[in-house]
Amino acid sequence: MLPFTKEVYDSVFAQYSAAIWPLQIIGWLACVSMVACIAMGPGRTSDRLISSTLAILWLWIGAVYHLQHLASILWISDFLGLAFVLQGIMLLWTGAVRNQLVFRYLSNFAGIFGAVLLTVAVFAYPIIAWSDGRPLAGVQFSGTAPTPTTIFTCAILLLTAVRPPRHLLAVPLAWAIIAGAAAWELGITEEAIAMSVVVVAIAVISFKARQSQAPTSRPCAE
Amino acid sequence: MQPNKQDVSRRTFLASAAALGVTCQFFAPNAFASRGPILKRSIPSTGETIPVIGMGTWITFNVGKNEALRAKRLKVLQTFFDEGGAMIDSSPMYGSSEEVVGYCLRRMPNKPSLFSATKVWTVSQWLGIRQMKKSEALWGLDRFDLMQIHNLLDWQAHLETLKEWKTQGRVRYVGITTSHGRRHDDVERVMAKEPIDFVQLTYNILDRAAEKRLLPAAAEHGRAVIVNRPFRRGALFDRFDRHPLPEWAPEIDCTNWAQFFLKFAISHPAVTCAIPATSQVAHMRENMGAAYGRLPDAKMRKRMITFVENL
Repeated sequence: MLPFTKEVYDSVFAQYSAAIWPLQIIGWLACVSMVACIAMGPGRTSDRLISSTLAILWLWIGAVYHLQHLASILWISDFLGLAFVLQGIMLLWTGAVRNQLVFRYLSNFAGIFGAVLLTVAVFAYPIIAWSDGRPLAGVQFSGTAPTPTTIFTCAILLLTAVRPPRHLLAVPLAWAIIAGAAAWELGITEEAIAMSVVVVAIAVISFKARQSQAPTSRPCAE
Repeated sequence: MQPNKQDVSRRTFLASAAALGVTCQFFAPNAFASRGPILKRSIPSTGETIPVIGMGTWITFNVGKNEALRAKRLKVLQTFFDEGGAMIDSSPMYGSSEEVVGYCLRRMPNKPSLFSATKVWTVSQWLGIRQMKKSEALWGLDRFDLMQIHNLLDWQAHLETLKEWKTQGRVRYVGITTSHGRRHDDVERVMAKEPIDFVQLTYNILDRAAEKRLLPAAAEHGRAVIVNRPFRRGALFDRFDRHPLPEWAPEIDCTNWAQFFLKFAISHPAVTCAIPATSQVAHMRENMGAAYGRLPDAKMRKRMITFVENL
C-alpha cells in the first residue's frame, strides 16, 4: 500500500516540474530528435547518439526525480533512483560504448507497435495532460517524467534491427510493474493501462528474433 | 446549491441538540471538560497514564514539502492537543511524516501533553542508531518517549541499543510493532522474554486475531498495547458508514461510527490506546470524542460485534 495520496503525489510532481522548468521541454525535444533520427532511416541515424541521449534521460530521472523529489515521500525511491541510474549506465555501455543497439523502423508487428508507443509517449501524454487542464509545467513529458520515458524507451527498443540485450529490459519492467500497481491504487486507470501495455511491449522485445532479416546498413558495426 | 447528506444530518443534529440544550457543550472549543475527564490508561511498567486515543501518521502526514497541506496538518495536530491528545506515532517508513510532524510541533507554542512515539526500521545496529538520531532531529526532540522496533526488523540489534539508551535516559520506553497480523509468534516470544514496555498491533472490530494470544500475553507480561489500524485503514467506513448507528449507541456515548469503532478497540482490557490517523480536523474531533464518556463492557462488546457482522 502506498504511503501517500494522489494529491500528495501530484504535488511532488508539480514541485519537481517547477524546479526543473524549462528542462522538460529540452528533454521532450531530445525525444523528438531521437524519433526523427530513426525516421530518417539507416545511414543517417546515429545509434550511439540515440543510446547516449536515452541514457542521459534515465540518469537524470534517477538522480533528480527519484532521489531528490519522490524519495521525500516514498522510501523505495532511493532504490528506484539507483535502478534508473543503473539503467542509464547500461544504456551507455551497451549502446554508446559497445554499439549493440541498432535502431531501425521495420514494418513488422514490433515496428508498428513501437511506432504507436512512440506516438503515445511523445505526443499523446502531453496533449492529454494539457487538455485535462494541467499547467504546462505540470505535464509529464517524455525525457523528464519516468512513466512516459519508460514507454518511450520500450518503443525505441521495439525499433531495433537486432534484439537488444535483455538486461536493458529489467529496470523498465520493474518500473512498469511498480508504477502500474501504484497508478491502479491511486485510481489513475489510464496510467495503469499504459504500464500494462509496456509489459506487453517488453515481452515482444524479449521474444524478437535474435537477428533481423532486414539489412542494418551499419558498416562500422563492431 | 443542493445541500449534501452530511449538511442535512449535521443541521438535523444541531436542531435536536439545541432542543436538548447540549449544543454548546458539544461544539464549544475546549468544552470536553463537560464530557468528563479524558479517559486514560496506565503503562504497566511505570504506572504513568496516557489518553486512550493517540494519533497515527501513516499517509496522513506524508505531504512532502507542500506548504498548504502542511498548514492543514498543523490544524489537525492542534485540534488533537486541544481535545486532550498526547501520543503521536510515526515511523521513518512513512515518507515525510516525521519531518511534517516536526514542522508542526515547532509551530505550536503549547504542546505540554506530547507523548512522542516513533520506530526504528532498518537493518544493523549502526544504521538503526543513525536512523533514530535522524528521527530525533526531524521531530526536533532531545529524546523520544517511546521508540519501537518496526515490524521486528533486526530486532535483536536494535533492542540492544534501546536497552542501553533507556538506561542512559535517551528514551523512556521501548516497544515492538507488528501489522497485518504478521509474526504473532515472534511478537509473543519477544513480549515474554525481553524487557519491553509497549507492543503495537492491529486490532479492530473485524480483525480480532490479537484477542486469541497477543492481547492476553500482553496483559500477562505487563506490556502496554497500542492498537494500529482501528478503522482497518478506512475499510470499516467504506463498509458500514452507509448504515445508521445502532439505536443503543448513546449507551456508550457514541455519536458516529469512528467513535463506535474506536470505543470497541480501546475497551479491550489489555489495550492502552489506539492511534487512528486522519488528515481532517472534523475527523480528529470525532476520533477524540471516543476518549470521553462510557466504554462498552464485555457484554456490550459482543453486541457490537454481532451488530456489525449482521450488517
